Amino acid sequence: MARSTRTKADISRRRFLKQGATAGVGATALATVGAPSGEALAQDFWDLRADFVTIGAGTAGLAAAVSALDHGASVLMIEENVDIGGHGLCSGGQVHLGGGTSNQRKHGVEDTADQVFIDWIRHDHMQSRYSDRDLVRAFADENAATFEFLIENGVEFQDHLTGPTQASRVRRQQRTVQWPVAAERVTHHPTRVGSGLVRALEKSARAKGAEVLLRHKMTSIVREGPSAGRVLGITATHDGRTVNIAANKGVLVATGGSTSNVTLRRTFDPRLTEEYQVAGEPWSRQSGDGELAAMAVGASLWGTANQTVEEGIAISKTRHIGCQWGYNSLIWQPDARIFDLARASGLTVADWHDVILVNQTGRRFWNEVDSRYDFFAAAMAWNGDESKLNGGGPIWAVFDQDAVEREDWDPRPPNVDPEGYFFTADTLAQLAGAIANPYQTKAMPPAALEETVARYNTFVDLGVDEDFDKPTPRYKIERPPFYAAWSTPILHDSLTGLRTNTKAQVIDTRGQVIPGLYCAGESQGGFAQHGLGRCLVFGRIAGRDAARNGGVA
Amino acid sequence: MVRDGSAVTDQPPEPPALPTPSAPRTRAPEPQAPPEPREEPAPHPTSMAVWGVPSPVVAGRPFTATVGVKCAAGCRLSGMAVVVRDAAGTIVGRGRLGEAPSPGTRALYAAEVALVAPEAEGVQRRTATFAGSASGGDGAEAAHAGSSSTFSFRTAGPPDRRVAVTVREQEAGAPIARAEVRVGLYRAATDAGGLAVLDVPAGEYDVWARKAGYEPHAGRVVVAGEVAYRIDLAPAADADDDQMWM
Repeated sequence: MARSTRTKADISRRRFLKQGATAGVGATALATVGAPSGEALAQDFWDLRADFVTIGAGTAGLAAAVSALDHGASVLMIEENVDIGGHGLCSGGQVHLGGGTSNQRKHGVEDTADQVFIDWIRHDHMQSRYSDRDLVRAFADENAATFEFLIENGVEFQDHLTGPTQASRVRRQQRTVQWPVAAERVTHHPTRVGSGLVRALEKSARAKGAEVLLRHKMTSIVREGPSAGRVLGITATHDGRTVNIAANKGVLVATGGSTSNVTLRRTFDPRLTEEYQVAGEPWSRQSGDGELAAMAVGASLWGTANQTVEEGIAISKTRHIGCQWGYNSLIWQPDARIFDLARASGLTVADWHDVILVNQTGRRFWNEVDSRYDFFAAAMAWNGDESKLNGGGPIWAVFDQDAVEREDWDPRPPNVDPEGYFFTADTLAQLAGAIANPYQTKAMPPAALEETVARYNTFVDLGVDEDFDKPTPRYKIERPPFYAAWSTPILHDSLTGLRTNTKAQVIDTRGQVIPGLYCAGESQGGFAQHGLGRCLVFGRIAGRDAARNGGVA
Repeated sequence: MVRDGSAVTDQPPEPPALPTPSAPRTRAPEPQAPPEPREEPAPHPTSMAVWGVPSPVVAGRPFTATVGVKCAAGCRLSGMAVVVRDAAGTIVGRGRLGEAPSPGTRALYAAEVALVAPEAEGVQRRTATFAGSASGGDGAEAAHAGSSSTFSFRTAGPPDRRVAVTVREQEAGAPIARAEVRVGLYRAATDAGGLAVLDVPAGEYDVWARKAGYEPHAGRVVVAGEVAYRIDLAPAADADDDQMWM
C-alpha cells in the first residue's frame, strides 16, 4: 500500500495556512476557475495526500515516481487513461541515453557527459540549434546515471547499440525488450517494444509503494495564489466525481505534450488545424492539459522554436493509408487492445510511386516520393477554400487496381476504414464524389480529379513530372476500380512546453520558480530531442528533487 | 482555380423581386392552373474510365484500349456506343459496351476499342466519349447524360533490339521471380529464373528493378544490339530503423 494517505481530515486549516504563510502568500484565493476558495480548503478539501503527485503515468511520470520513492517520498500517480504507459507503451522503446553507459562500454563506444552536452548544443544541427544549454547540461550530466537507473529498476534492453542519430555524434540509442505479458501490451507488433520500458518501471514503482489511480483526469493545479505561492496539489475527476489530491513535496506535470490539442499546437504552428491526426492516438492523447493547468497558475512556455525546426519527426507522412491514424512506425493491427477505437490498420505504402497524393480539391501539390518538410509545407498550403485559410485540408492517396496488385494490398476492412477514410469507385469522377470525411470542407470536384489524373498519366508517358518533379513517374492511374485513402500528414513530437530550471521545477512568466511544481517529458520545453531519453532524465531529476527539497525554489 | 464542378450546371438563383415602395400591395390575380407537367426525370449522370492502353506503342501500328462507362445509378449500359476521337475531334475508334460489368467493378460497362497509333513519335492524347442515351422506347430505362475521358499514350519506333535482364539476390545469388523491370518506358516482370526480356528501340535507357523486400535498383544501359544486363538486389533496410518512434 502506498504511503499516501486517504483521509480528508488529514490536513488542518492551521497547517494549510501555515504552508501559505511560509511561502509568503495568504491562502485566500486559488488560481484556477472553479476551484474552491482557500476558506473551503481548510477542513476537508483534500481527499488524498502524498508527498509527490504525478499528473500522468507515462514514461516521465513513472521515472519520476521511482526516483521520488527511492529518495523517501510517498508517491501518488494519476492517469486519465484506462492504463499506465501513455505514448511510451506503444512506442518503439528507443532510449536515447549515453554519456558513458554500461551498454556503451559493452559495445566499445566511448562517451562522456561533456560529449552529450557538446552534441546537443550543436549550432549546425536543427535538433540542437535552439537548445536551452542549461537544460542540456543537466541532461548530459544525468544521461549515464539515468540509463543505469533503468537497469536497476528492471528495464531490459536488447543487446545492441545504434546510431549515431539526431544531433548525437556517437552511438547512444538502444531498444528495450518487449514486455512478455501480452495482456499488458497495447499492441503486439514486434517493433512496439516500449511496453518493456514502462511496464518495468511501473512494476518497480508499485513495488516501492507508488499508488496509481487510473481514469483520474486532472482538472486544475491548486496554487496558493493565482500566480504566487506554493503549489499545494491538484483537483481531478473520476467517474464524474471530484477528487482533490494534496502534494506535500511537489506536483509533476507529466501529461505528455500538447500535439493533440489543436488550439495549443497552433500556438506554435498556426497551420496545424484540426485535420491533422496524432501518432499514438487513439491510445493516448497529447492533450496539453498539464501545460494549460500550469499556465493557469502562471507557468511560462519555453523554447518554442524547437517545435518548428523542420528536422526530426514532429510531422510525418502517413505510411499506413486509408485509416485515421497511420503513423510511420505504429500500425494498429486487429489484435491491438484498442482496435475497436482505431477501426483499421491501413494499407502500408512500400512505394510512393504507386499513388498520387491530392488535396481536397483533387489537385496534386508536391512530389509524392518526398517526405521532408517541403512536402509537409505543400500539403498544408492553402487549398483555395475561402472558408478555411489555415491548414491544407485532407490529403488523399489516389490509386487504381494495378497499384493494389503491385503493393499486394487487400483494400477491405479491417485494413481500411470505409467510414470516412477510404473510398472506392468504378470511375475517378465517382471516386471524387464519394469522398466524405469530417475534415473535407468542400466536395472534391470530379472534373478536377479526372484532369489531375489525366495529366499525371501523361507525365508517365513522358517519363517527366512537369508539375512537381517526381522522379520518373512510373505508373498510370487507369484501371478500375479506383481508390482514395486518407493520407494526411500525421503529427507526432511535442518539442516545446513548460519552462523549467535544471531541477525540472516549473518557471513562471516572470522567470521565478513555482514552488512545488515540476515538469518532465514532452510537456517540458527546452530542446528538440525526439523520444524517451529526455522524458526519463528529467522525470528522474524531478522525482529526486521533489523528495529531497520539497519543491522549494 | 477549379471550383466545385457540380456548381457549373446550376443557374444562379434569381434575385428576389424588390417590392415597389409606393405602390400599395395588391393581391395578384390568381394564375391559371398550369397543365400537369409531364414526368421528365433528369438523365442519370455517367462517367468514364479508359485503361489497358499500351505505352509506348509502335508508331503506325494497331492497338486496343478499354473504354468503360458507369451510370451513377448503376444502370446496365450494355450495347451502348462509345467513340474515341483524336485531338482534331475526328472519330478514330468505336465500340459497344459489353454484357457484364468489368471485373472488380460494380457497374462499369466496357468496350474494347481498336485504334491505330499515329506515325509521329511522342505523347498522343485521345478522348473517349459516351454520347448519352434518351430514355428507352418502353419507358423503363432512364435517360443518360453523356460523358468523356481523356487518355494518353506514347508512340515510339519499332522495338527491334532485345535487352535480357536478370535479377538476383545480392547475397545468395538466387534468381528473383516476379520482379518488375523497366528499361526506359518498357516494362516486364522476371520469370522463375529471374529473367525478363524486353524489346526496345535502340537507344540509351534508365534501367530499374523493384521487388518487395529488396532495395530498388537504378542503372543505365546503352542498347545498340542484344544486351544482357544483370541486377543484384540487396535486402531492404528496415524502414523502422531509420525513423523509429522513440
